[in-house]
Amino acid sequence: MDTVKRMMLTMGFLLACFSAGAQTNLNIGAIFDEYGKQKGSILIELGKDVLGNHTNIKRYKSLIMPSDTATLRMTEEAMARDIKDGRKLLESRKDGTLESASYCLTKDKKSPEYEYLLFSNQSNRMTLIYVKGNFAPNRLEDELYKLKNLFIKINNKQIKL
Amino acid sequence: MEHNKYIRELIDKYLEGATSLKEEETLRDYFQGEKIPEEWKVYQAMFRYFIDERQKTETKRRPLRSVRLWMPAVAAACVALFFGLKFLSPAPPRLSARSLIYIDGKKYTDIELIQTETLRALENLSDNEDNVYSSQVEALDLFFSNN
Repeated sequence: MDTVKRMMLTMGFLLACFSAGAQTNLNIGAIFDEYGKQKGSILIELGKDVLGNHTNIKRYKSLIMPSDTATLRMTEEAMARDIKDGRKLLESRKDGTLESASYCLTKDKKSPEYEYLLFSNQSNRMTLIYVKGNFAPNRLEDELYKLKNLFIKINNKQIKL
Repeated sequence: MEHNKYIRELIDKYLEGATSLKEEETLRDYFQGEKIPEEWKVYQAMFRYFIDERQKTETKRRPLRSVRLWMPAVAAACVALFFGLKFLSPAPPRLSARSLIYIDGKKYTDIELIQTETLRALENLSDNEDNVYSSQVEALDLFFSNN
């Protein structure tokens, strides 16, 4: 009977370990999924063709969408859940409403990569950017500037927005 | 009478160790009854003792047999659950080969369009009058100097 109990406990423990590793999605992913393909939204996901070996950014995903009180609240709540023990790099509010922010999410000690969330809300348009790369928070600004310059350089002309 | 004679023969055979399983079963069934001749009461006690011991052994064995039967089933269920979680759960996101853009829900793969809109998103961050980037650098400097 002791052998049986031991086996059952071992199986249950192994199952719990494997199960814990099975799900690693961010809460902010739900915002991208929910609003990314709606009318008025612009969803971008950069692939190897753009990022390649030109930058230390390994994943880039951005969403520009119309914002209202509900979507702003949902986005802020999702970001708060993903930040957990991460770092608030910048946060700016106006009349209690989040206007701009940048966060570094909790880093996996086994991985050299950092994850960032960047947020801006202007004129009822919200911009949400997810970036992942093997660079520390003090290099974030440089990497984003490099990304911008990369596009201008590839096009060989100044892009007018 | 004939039956009792037959039982007598079986008892003698049993005591000699010559009974078959079927014959022993016949004796056990007989001695489980109530109308047993007085001279055979001692045999009844003996067969009833054997019956009790057998039942006890079967009761002890049953849980182990049951456990042995459902252990592989539990192991299989755990393995199935593990693989189910692995394959049915969303896989960790991987960098795709091609960049994509969705505008009003419609997909495009035009690189220039993607680059233009990416720049627009990045510019939105710096359009904020607080100037996200320079404020960010100041915040980072403060953070690293305090740690």
